[in-house]
Amino acid sequence: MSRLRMILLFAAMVVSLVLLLRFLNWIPAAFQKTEVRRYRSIEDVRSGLKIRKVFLPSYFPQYLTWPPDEIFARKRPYPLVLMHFTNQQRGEIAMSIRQADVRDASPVVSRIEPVIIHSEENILIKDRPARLFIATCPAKRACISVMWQEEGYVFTITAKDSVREVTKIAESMLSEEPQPNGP
Amino acid sequence: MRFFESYAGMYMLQSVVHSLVALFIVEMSLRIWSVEDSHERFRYRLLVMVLPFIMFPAFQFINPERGSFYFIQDSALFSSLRWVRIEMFGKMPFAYAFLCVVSAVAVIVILQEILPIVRDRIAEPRGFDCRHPDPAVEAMVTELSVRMGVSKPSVCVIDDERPFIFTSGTKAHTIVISEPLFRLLDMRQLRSALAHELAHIVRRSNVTTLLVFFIRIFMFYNPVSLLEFRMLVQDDEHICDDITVSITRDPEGLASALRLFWLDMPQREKIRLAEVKQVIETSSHNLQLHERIVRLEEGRAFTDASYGWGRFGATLATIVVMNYFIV
Repeated sequence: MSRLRMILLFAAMVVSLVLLLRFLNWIPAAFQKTEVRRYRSIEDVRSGLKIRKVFLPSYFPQYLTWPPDEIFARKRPYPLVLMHFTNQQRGEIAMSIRQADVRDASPVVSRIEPVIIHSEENILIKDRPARLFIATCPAKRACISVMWQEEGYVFTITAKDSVREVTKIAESMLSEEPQPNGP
Repeated sequence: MRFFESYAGMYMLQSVVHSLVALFIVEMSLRIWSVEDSHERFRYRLLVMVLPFIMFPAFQFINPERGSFYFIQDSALFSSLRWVRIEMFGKMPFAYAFLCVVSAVAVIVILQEILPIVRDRIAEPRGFDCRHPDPAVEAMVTELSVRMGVSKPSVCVIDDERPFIFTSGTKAHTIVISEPLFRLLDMRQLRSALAHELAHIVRRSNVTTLLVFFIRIFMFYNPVSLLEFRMLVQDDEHICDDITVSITRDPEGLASALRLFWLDMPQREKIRLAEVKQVIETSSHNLQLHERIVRLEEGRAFTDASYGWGRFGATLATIVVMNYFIV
């Protein structure tokens, strides 16, 4: 067998193995409804998973891109929607919004999940008790995180922005009247 | 099944998957590169044994985020966790199947490897009378040692009704021969058998086998390690056969000596359950001997092929890179 033929066969073996592994990796994701999966749009999440309500902010800073750059979601065992938004100028993820079921003990973390918490305090967002964190996110970037509960979900917004802007985004996701907290 | 998310669980799961992938790549490479040389085959097979043992901790050290959700989403070729998490009717069949396989392998390793060692340690040390062989045999060992470039080992003849020959020790070696061999083997066959034992000393087979054995015991749950260990031992025998033939230039002498180690099977129409283990071991032993004899008779031993470091490097790199993306 010529050397070139051997090299080509070896390359073909590697490509075949990669394709086989990709296929084997796809099987559980295709049939398992408890997998967190990537979705193209909010509409896909609503129609595909039939999640009762996907909360979105009505106030949205200009520097962020819409629609979300990345959406991860799951219906079972507990509903979860996690969105990442990109800073148009910098091309990096600047905000994430997570809507996780209150029963979900370890929901998927954001790509910009705070790594160091510097301070935290209780605040009110449209009369709902919330927790505000001043933190450092990955790549040593300062960030703000705010967390509250509504309609059986725990909402977490993490953004590389000011406290004022983050609370404004959080307020824009809520109606005036607090909603019951059951699932 | 939180176990599979712990470090130990991830190590267990990933090392088995890494072993399977390494086995596939190595076996395919041996065919594609047409590797016939026993030395080279041995080194390829060593990759299947050693790499899965060290890859997971090394990968986690290089990138602690390797097992994270985003690594699996963005970079991973295959996630074994996805399979063990599959639920059907409230159960996790693949997780249970995996645990059943590793438990079965663990039981085999414990019964076959660990228990006999423990039993030997606990048992009364069996002393045996060791005496020197005839001067003619001593002279043969001296001559072969000089030719093979090793210091002459001591030779110990013991009284035992079973015919056997083996080399003990990792630094100071002793060739142990049972008395019946001197009656069963002629001088030509004995010369081949002694040269074969000296080849094990040249190769430091006892040290290599001991190291590989430790890996096998550490990965007591891994079915691939169980299989691969046997293949490595067989490859080591092939290498020593090749070295023997290169010194004696007498493959028939070694082949005929090997035939004497053929074990008899129980000659009954129905084999009792208690004899199953013995039958399996005897068959396996005879099969391995047969393969070695055929190899010697067909002149496949002592093929002085050039060593392909490039293709070995390509195989090694493929195993490491691919397994990095298998979590």
